[in-house]
Amino acid sequence: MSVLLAAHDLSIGYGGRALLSGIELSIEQGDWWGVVGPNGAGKTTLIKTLLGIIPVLAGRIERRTGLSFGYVPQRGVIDDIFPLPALDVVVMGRYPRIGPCRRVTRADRELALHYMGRVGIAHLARKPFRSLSGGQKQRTLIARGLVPEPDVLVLDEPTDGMDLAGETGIMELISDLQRGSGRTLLMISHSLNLVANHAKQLMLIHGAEGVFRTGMTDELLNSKTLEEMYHLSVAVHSFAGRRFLFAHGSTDTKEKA
Amino acid sequence: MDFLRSVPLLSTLLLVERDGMTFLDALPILRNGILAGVVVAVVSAFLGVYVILKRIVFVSAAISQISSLGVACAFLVAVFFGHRASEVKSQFLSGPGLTSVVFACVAAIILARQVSEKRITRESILGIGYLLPAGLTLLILDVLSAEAHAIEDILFGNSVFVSVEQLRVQVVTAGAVLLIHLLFYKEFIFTSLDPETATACGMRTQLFNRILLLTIAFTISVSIMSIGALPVFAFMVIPASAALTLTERLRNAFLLSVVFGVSAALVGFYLSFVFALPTGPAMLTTAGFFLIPGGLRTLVQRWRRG
Repeated sequence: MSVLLAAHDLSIGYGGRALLSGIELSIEQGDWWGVVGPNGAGKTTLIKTLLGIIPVLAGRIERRTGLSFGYVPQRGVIDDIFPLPALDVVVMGRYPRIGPCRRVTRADRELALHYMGRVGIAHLARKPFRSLSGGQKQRTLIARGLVPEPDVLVLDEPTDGMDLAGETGIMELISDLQRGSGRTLLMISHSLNLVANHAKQLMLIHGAEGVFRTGMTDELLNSKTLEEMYHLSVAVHSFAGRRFLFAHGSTDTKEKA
Repeated sequence: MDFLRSVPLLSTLLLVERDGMTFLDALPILRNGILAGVVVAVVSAFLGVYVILKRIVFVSAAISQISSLGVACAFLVAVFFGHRASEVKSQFLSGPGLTSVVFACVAAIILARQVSEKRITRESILGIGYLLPAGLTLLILDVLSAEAHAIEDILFGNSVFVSVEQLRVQVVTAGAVLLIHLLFYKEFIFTSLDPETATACGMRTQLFNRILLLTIAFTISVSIMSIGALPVFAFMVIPASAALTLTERLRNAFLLSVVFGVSAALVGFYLSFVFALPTGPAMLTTAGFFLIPGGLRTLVQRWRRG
């Protein structure tokens, strides 16, 4: 497997203040990473640093030459004031490929429609983006992330605020897309239960505790690691081929008791 | 002329008299003013769509004040070195025009920077960026009271009598700005809608954001010297707001905004002649009427939803 992106002794943070240091990371072709940690742990900061949205504080990131990213932000990022049909939002994913001073071609629009079809929303192409439901917006943004046909697709909390049906639909879609294309995938989520049954690899982050662990999901998902991470007594059970995680209370409280 | 008198609507509109002169008779005198108003309306109403979408209405207000301060400073420095206001005014492009553009562009670059809002909010910075230059400009006008009329002429514009030189500068500026927007339309839209994703996909978001703000700054600083700060600000805000309430297509919003802006400029100019009104406020008020269809549409939509 070829290495697409590697971080060496990386420090991440905002405004010169390091949130987490000494990060070592290697992402390979076809990986399916879940980036998990408590709220405010530094998940988004890490991903934005890897993507080049915020600068590296220290250390270095090596990217394979010509490496391209598709990014799926949280759907709330898109301001509803923009009067754009869903298709136009998806076509935007092609803009960096098209380059400045060149027009969007019919081929670009057809590709956008193809990916809207892949995520099950081709029939919404002409609808205003702002009139779509939360799940439909998320699918539109996933299609936009896919349309440049990137080497790495990065998703930031794609199921945040969704009901069970929406959450299941989006996770099945993401897993199908990864299986079908062999594309490298990174997904940020605060829900360990969600990621545990889909991602092959995990990044566990807790900036405040200085914790950064990476490894195969099977290896990292155990009570000992999760207790260290969350200071909670966590039980990991398997049932019908799926993993279920249960928190039994704070280990700090138990120690005090 | 006889032909015009035979067309009922045209004769009523164009041959209406004021002080013994018809609008048609006055056209040669008013031509530069009308053309400048239309050119400013086209470019400002186009850029106004970005101003509304990016929620930077007060950035444009602050830039116009800082640009005015540039004009006032040019006069202050010139008078300090013993020059007269009329001399400064005659060297417009190398004097107040230049300082106005430089001040506006520097302001745009500073305001394009993202600030941490922990200690001071972006709104506070914009408020300060508006108030301080406004106060300083008024102080300079007071210090240079003998030259105040010449400065005010540039600062607040004279929509009726625009010089050929000023009109030429206005047309070249508008042409250059619209060309830049034609070439980088995709980049401006993507980086305005979703800057983080644009950056992640390899776009130079900061650069395009700066270029966009510089085109706005350049347009404001040149336009306020043609028709005055108030109508320029109005053309940046009102036509785009009216257009965005009427369409679900961004390209239509740009088109509608320009149509509203140009209509407001022409109708406002005409009404100011007919009713002897100040031109800038007449154009602004006319632009306000274009908000009515969007307002009615919103009301009908709310009523339908119950």
